[in-house]
Amino acid sequence: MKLKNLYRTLFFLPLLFLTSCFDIIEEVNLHDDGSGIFNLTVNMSQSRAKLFSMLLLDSVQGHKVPKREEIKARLNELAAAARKTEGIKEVKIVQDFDNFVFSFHCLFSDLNSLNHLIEEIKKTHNADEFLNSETIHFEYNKRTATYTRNGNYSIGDAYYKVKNIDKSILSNANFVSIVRFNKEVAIISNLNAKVAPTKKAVMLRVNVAHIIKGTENFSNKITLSK
Amino acid sequence: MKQALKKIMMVLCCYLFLQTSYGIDLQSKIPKTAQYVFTIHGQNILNKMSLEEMGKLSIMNAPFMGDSIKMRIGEFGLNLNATFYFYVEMTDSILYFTYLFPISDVKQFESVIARKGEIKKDAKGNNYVETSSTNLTTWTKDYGAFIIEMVVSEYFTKVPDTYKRYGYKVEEVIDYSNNVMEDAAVDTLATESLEDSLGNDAVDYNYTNTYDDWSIKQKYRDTIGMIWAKQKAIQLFSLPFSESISTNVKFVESQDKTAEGIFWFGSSNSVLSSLMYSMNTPSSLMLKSMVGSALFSDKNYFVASIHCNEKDIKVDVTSTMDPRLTKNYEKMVNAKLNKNFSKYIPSENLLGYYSFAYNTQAVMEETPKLMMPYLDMIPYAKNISSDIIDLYALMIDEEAIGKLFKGDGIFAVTNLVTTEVPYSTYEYDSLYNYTEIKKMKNETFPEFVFMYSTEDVIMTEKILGMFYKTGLCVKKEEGYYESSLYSGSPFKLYLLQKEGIVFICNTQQQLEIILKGKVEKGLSKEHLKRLKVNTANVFVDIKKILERFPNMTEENRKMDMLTYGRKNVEILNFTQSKPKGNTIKSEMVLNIPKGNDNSVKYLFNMINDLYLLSK
Repeated sequence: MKLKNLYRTLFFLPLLFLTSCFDIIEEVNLHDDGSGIFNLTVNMSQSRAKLFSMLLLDSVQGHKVPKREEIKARLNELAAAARKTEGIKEVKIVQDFDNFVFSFHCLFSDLNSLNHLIEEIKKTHNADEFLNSETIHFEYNKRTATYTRNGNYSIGDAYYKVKNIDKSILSNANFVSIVRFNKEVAIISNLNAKVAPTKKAVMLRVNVAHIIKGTENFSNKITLSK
Repeated sequence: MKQALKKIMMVLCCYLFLQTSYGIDLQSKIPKTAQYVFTIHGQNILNKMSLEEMGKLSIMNAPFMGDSIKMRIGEFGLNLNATFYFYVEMTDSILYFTYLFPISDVKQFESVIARKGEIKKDAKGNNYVETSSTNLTTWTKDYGAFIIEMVVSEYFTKVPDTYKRYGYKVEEVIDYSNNVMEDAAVDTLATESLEDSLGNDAVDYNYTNTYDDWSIKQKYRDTIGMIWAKQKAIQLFSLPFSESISTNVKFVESQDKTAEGIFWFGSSNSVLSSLMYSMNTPSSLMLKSMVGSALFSDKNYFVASIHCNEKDIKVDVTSTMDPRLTKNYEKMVNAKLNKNFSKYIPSENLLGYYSFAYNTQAVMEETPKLMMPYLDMIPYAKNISSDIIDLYALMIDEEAIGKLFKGDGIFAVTNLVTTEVPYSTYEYDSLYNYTEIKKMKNETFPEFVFMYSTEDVIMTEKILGMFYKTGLCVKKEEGYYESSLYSGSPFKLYLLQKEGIVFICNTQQQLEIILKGKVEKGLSKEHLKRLKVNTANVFVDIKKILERFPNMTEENRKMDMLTYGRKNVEILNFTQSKPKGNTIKSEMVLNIPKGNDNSVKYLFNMINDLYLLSK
């Protein structure tokens, strides 16, 4: 047995038995003037054991496994792109490789700045397929005090080409969207969302597989009381 | 001479026996040029599971089954108690996949086949139906054949002579002049008949537009393929015995009457040269170099016989190598597994193992000799092949490597261990602000040990010491090395060298067994015997693995499959024995659970149950 094969066998074996799931939490704290704070956290600590095994391999199920340095470089690219985007400041990236929790934090002067940042990322990573063709992801109309999140990120029929094993990972992942306001919420369009007891925050939890498949999305139009 | 006479007598006896006992012997309809033959003994299967029992299976009425399958299988007019064959013939230009089937009621058969297309007569008066543009069914009153043809596209686009003849513009002119192996007779006939078949479409053989005429080219290829397939059908009915595979003593010997199925592969140079046309990659260079090589002479074969017994399914595999290379191979496998390995393998929760016993020094010394024929065939290496071998011998110290890794080893999965691992999640307050909290969850992972023998203890310690000095592991007082590989990783590897064995394991429990040097309950005598006598062994206790596999509560279908597997699979064993002469024998045995009448019913019922579970 070649040493490389042995090495692969030793570290691939646990992958067959370990569980994998993750959470993505998007937070928007929106001020009355349309500025605010944005946080995106990817928490993969529930898959920690599996990820440690995967990091020792070149590829898993046909997907190249990035090395820590590559992940760090990608996140730094994201931070650099954010810093260059007009209206975005105080960009912070947190990388916890022991627990596999990664987060992105920034302040924005206007939700359009976030839209520009997402469009920039789409361009540099050719991610049109995964981040649909919409260019307006966040919207706030000060006059009507209406916040809109366009959260339809389905890849359509391409989902049926995704390998079953990958689908299984996606079906164990959740996307949580939290948005907080200074004013009370009057109306929400997405009935799956929950309004906080204080009526100043809305939370929506959606399965990632359903988002990609297109059977669910996290679009929501929230009208605030005046 | 004596040997030749013996062979002739044997073939004659086989032929006479088959003729008298079965009437029509379909084996004699298989041309001796067939490279792959799969035999199904219908009677052996039906003795274990009747047609009525098969007909009751839900899968027989599944939507993906054609209408003809949905009918009762017995109503096809086939003689299901006889022997069926499937064989593959390959040439440089076309592949034929042929199913040979015996017919018991030709009227019944014709009533079924007539639904697939118009029944026509060929030049010799035989019936046939073109069931699609690439396949046809032909028959007489006693037997029939279903022929699928697959034209090798490269033959028409890459070979200069052919592309000119069929009017294709060559994309890349490659000199195949030394390798072209055309079947001139068939090819000529195809060219003559092409215009008749294509009618008005076949006008200009000098057509050179290579982009827009894809569909016309496709039509040319399909038409030529069908013409050749029809010729193949005619040849089949009038094949002289001397041209049949029944004259191949090794093939006839391989046809075990007690087996349910037999797969036979006769390696020959023509197979390799046929494959050359479908590949034009660096690997095909190696393939081309193997044409004519000593390793793949016409005398070699590979046979796998499937026996569906009462308690198990057994596959006996026999393969041969060129007698000139037997001694080299014998040296490579002249090794025994270190008997002390078994001292460190607890049998109580054993899930599986893979063992191997080779002689590393002999492998290092003999491999270049085995590679010589390959090197001689590679254009830029043929003049320097012996120099390459000398350089290799100069650079590699076979004896030193042979001492460091003797060549025997075993990888055993000794348990599935469940342990608690931490993870972080969040708690939300009334404004959906969240705070991180730590929770614990159970993770199951396999406990394993890998061992190999070494004679060079000093060098082994030096290598382990290098890992330690470079920070890849830490050395513990007890003399073993511990490696996390990544900070924070819940997995650890333990490495140590003891009594000429190098150990790699991943749990403290296994490490303690190694340090103690003894297990409470060792391997059974059966395992020990198998490990002692064979070159390679694989043992997998599938039932135990599935029993220990963590339950998947999220997905009901997967959970159902898992539950089904736990009840319906047992142990799998594979052994590869030492060579006897130029023959290597292997055996794979899958035990079936108690409560099954026999393994034919077990297999059919399992396919049916899995189909029902997947619905």
